[in-house]
Amino acid sequence: MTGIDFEGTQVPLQAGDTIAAALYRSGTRVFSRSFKYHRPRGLYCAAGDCPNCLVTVDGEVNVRACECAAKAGQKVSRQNAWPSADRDALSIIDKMHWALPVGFYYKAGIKPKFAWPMVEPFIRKMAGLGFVDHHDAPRHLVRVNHHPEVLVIGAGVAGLSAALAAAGAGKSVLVIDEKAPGHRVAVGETRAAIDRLVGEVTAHGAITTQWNTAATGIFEGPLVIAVDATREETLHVHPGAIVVAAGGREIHRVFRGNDLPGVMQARGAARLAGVHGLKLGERAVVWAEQPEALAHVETLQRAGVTVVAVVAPDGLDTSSVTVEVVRGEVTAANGKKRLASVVAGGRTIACDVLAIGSEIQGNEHLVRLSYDLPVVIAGDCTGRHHTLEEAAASGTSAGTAAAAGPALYAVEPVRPRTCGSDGYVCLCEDVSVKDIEVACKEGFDSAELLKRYTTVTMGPCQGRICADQLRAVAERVTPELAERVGAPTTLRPPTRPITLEQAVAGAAHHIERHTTLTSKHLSAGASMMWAGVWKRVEAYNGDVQGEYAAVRERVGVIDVGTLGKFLVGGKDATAFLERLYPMKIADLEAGRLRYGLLLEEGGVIIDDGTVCALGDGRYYITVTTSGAERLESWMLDWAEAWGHEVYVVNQTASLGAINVAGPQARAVLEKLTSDAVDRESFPYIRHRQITVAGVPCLAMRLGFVGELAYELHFPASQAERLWDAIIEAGKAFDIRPFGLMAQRLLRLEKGHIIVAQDTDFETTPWKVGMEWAVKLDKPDFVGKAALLRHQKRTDRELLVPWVMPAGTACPPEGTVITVNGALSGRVTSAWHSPTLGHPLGLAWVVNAHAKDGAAVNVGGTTATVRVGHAFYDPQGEKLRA
Amino acid sequence: MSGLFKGRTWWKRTDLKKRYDVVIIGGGGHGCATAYYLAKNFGITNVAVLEKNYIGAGGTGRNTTIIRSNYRTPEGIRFYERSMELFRGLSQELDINMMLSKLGHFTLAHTDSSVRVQRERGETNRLLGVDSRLIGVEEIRELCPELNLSRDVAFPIQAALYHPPGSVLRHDAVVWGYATGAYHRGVELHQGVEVTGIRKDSTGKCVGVETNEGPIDAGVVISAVAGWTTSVCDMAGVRTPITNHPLQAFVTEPVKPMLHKILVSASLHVYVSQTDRGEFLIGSEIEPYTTFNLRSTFTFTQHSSANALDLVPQLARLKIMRQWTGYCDMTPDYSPIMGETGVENFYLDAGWGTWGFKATAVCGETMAQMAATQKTPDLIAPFRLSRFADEQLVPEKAAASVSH
Ligand SMILES: Cc1cc2nc3c(=O)[nH]c(=O)nc-3n(C[C@H](O)[C@H](O)[C@H](O)COP(=O)(O)OP(=O)(O)OC[C@H]3O[C@@H](n4cnc5c(N)ncnc54)[C@H](O)[C@@H]3O)c2cc1C
Ligand code: FES
Repeated sequence: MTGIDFEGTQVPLQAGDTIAAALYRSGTRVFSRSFKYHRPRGLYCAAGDCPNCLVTVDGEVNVRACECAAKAGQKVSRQNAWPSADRDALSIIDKMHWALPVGFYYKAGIKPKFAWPMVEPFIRKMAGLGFVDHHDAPRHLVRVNHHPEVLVIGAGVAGLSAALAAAGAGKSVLVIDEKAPGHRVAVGETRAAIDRLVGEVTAHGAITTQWNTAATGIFEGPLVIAVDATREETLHVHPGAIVVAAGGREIHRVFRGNDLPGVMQARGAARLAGVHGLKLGERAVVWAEQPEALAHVETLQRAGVTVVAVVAPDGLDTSSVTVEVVRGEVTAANGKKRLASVVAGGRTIACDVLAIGSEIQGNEHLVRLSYDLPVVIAGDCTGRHHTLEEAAASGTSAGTAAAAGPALYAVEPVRPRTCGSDGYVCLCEDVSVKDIEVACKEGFDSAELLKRYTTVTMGPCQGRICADQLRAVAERVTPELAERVGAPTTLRPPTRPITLEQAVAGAAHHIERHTTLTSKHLSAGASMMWAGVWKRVEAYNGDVQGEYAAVRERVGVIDVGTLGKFLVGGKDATAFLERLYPMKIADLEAGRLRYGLLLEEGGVIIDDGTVCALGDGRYYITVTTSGAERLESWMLDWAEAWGHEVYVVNQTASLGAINVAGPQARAVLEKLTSDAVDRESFPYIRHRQITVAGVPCLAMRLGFVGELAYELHFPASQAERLWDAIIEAGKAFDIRPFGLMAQRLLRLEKGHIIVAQDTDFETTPWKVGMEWAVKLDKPDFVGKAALLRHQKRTDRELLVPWVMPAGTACPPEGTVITVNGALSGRVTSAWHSPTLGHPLGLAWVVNAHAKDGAAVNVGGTTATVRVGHAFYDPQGEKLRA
Repeated sequence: MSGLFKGRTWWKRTDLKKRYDVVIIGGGGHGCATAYYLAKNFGITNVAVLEKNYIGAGGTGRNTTIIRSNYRTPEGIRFYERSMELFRGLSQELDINMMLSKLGHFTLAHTDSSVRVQRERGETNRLLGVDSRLIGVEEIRELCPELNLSRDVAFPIQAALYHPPGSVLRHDAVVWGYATGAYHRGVELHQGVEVTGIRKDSTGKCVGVETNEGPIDAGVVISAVAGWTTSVCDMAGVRTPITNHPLQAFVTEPVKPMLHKILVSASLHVYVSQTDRGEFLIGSEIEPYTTFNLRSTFTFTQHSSANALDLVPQLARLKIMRQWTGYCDMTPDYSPIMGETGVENFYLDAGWGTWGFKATAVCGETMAQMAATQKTPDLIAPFRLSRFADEQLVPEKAAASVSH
């Protein structure tokens, strides 16, 4: 295929064609139907600013045809029209403006009440432009970081001169342009100057260039985001200083018929004629408000168009053109589906092209986003037309200033002198001069309110075309409020389109951590689940019950390497932990360990774990899997606040941890170690340094799951070796690895809470019956003041254990609790206990019913509150075994 | 179709008077609604709304317009449900089409802990008469086939809290509707008037305000300035636990509507809906830092895009059209602060964080009642400022941190 497929017809291509150029050459004049009235729209700016040429290309909607390079085989179709843009049935709406006054949607469909819900689906159907292709999966685009000392945005004469000046001053420079340099400029002296400068820039060792790369925003940093459409890259540029030389555009002129196909901006027309060689029509009128526009007369003529007249204001020197000059302005354009004539200077002139070379306004969007960032502007971007020499000089001084460390040059956005009394101000949203006038009179008397009411400036171009015209109309209607209505609306990124997938480029947005044992778990049939940023074993082959039984009856082993692990040392380590934890630390002898809650200043439980006294003034502490990262900085903050001399070493990743639990745990270990692990030498809540299967371990005797257990902590690199050895030695006892699910069930039978599952952000130790873990007689600890206040109050809810009779179904976690139909609490943990043979769990219950023996309703079944009873092994004999 | 073809006067400028019975600081939805209900329910019309910028310049004109009542606590549910009731008849009452679009609201659960929270919310909601329930993957697929329900992603969707009444509506229509309703009942709207001080008499009682246009006397002063609450409270010498965080959102260019549900994912910190104009509206949770700076950040765009694509991958090649930022007056428990302040005659309507748009109607009604009767209405009693000192919070974080 050598052409593009345009709605089923083959359109041939020439070298350098954009989609717009190819379609125009083959006769397409209507490129789209407008958003609201379905008016026919043709090429207008040909610079990626206006909405008129938005088409769907290969399933991507709203592509600017004038900027998109044509490629053989592309499928292109027009949007927002049915059955076709040439004959759009909905253009009937354009005949009914009387029925669609400004603010129509606010004023219509109100009564009767049932009307709107019926009408809305139809309005919804009419909304939007193209159709989204449901089969497009996001691509993974590359993100490239650049750190130039000077970034130049825009490779026109000013930008290229700036780059050379900055590089000349010894800086590294990156120049980007949304197109290839000169791409929009017709053959002539400007084009020649650009070509020469590009040669110099490319030859310069300190300058890097990247074309077809559009800056979409400037953020604090400074950080400039740019998208390279051809290489499918998103650039994150971190420059020292920025030169914005993004050029200018002609002011949108508003008059009756100003949106007819055939009415174009002069630079756009010159581009189509002078770059793509298109003969735009038979007879053209050029409306020139400034000298540059006069040069376009010849460009159009060279492409074969007869320029029948130049319309120019009185002051403009038109001696360079040979065609008839009409003094004045164009006040109307006539024609049905395309331009047939214009009215200027009181005359009607037949023509099929009107090229409007109005005053230049700067493409200042990026500058308006840069606030106090180091940005300099150059060339037309400053808001007025520059001759070649002026542009070069402006670029050179901007480049020099940027190299020296610039101050921001503020831009005064250009004010249009006038705005006609008829015609379309906003092409994206179909808002006319009349609409804005009516809105002003109705009370909407600031630019922001007018914008919101009429939706002017809210279309795909975000006001590039219409923002200044809006202000001109508003000022005319309400001169007494000129300052209010004239204030520009806030400019926001992106300044050029960026797709979601381009924005995503390089984002590693789901961090997933694994212990070194993951591959072992997976080959043993593990399913994994999230625990904070970690993936942990949920269960092996789904057999939670089997794993549970192994731990209760024989022995099980679980990978707890995800626990947060810290070594705390330094001169003040004891004092530090004493103040951090609500329990006693100073009396903790070497070889002993203690369970500890961590509270925030409000006395609320934020984490829990263990503290081992190592005997040399150092402590080894563990916290929950999800707590590790947050708690590290939390601890360091406190250390700093208290002026304590401590160090906190985060060993979460460098140490592995495995818990061997069950009546046979000791028997398994005895096969692997020659160190004493018997009850007398290594009792409950003690820790010892032992060697297991040749691996040095810090072993702790803890009882989260309620059985004899040894939790081994060791260098992570040894994890696989140790795991294998334990599994091997355990074979004789029918050992089973177990996952998080079985662990949750095991701990629940012991009544142990899981922070964040059973607790919430108001949970104090009082509310969960853990007064024993708090020593209020300590001089101070984090949360003490709040807990003292708390003691004086009755809590609204308490966390309590509950049971249900055997034979009842276990309610799902999250089920609410009622008493006599009134909301009275919620279940946080629930399991059917295999050992006890009935459902049990933990629940928040309102104070009045949080009493031992109280009956509450859980999802239709009666449960009994059991305060003060551990369900399984209440005396803790198994733990101490 | 009343007033459709006639031009309509929404409001007009008037001169500031020296004294009003009630001065409302802030011409957002809450301020205008309060003025409206003062006039309508209590016949109090010697009222001025003072707005330093333009009507709806604050959070009201920047929010993502989700209204719902599937909160977590009974206090929250009752309060927001009253607002939903008022919203349902508002278009007719104010004769302005609010373009209420009852799309239905999904809170997606990707983890077992989230399933637990959503189940609890659903059950609590139903107990209080709010239509809301936990649904499984199959039902989700039926109701919203556009959603990516693959198991083959980082956070597969396990269930959702489905709240059929969850809707979106035009935020501007709400504030303009209340403003014009109040205006036509005699209330004055003053745009461009900034309150610069709270005036008190020797006993500490509030007697008026200072403004850039001079002092004004007032019987009662209500602060309804959301993101600016900390500065107005500073003027009044009232301490609150509010911190001010930015919240951002973006819209894509309009495309033909294809998504007809409001999607919220707390695990992915993102929510997505498609407006009646065809734009996709994507937002996230608050930025972690506090500031009075409304600049956009790219980190937000990048991460919200990534998360949105996890939910609806078809959006990959849509173009982002505009991103913006608003202030959020965050409270520790994600519930508002309403009513007495300790300064006599100075009442607060604040702590609206990321969730206050849906409360516009009920706030107007209750604050009007408060100002007219000088008594705290039952509906807002749980939201008193003193609850922080008493540690009697109304915890809504689980229901309001990402879904606003
Ligand atoms: C991006 C974003 C998305 C959101 N999404 C939702 C959502 O989906 N659902 C939801 O329920 N909520 C949402 N919210 C929250 C919601 O927008 C706000 O809580 C709500 O709009 C607050 O309304 P308000 O009338 O109290 O305040 P605002 O609308 O902020 O009005 C306060 C007004 O006070 C004026 N003011 C301030 N100081 C002074 C002074 N000194 N003198 C005079 N005037 C003053 C301001 O100019 C402003 O106009 C969102 C917020 C943001 C930023
Ligand atoms: S012309 Fe694009 S927003 Fe008005």
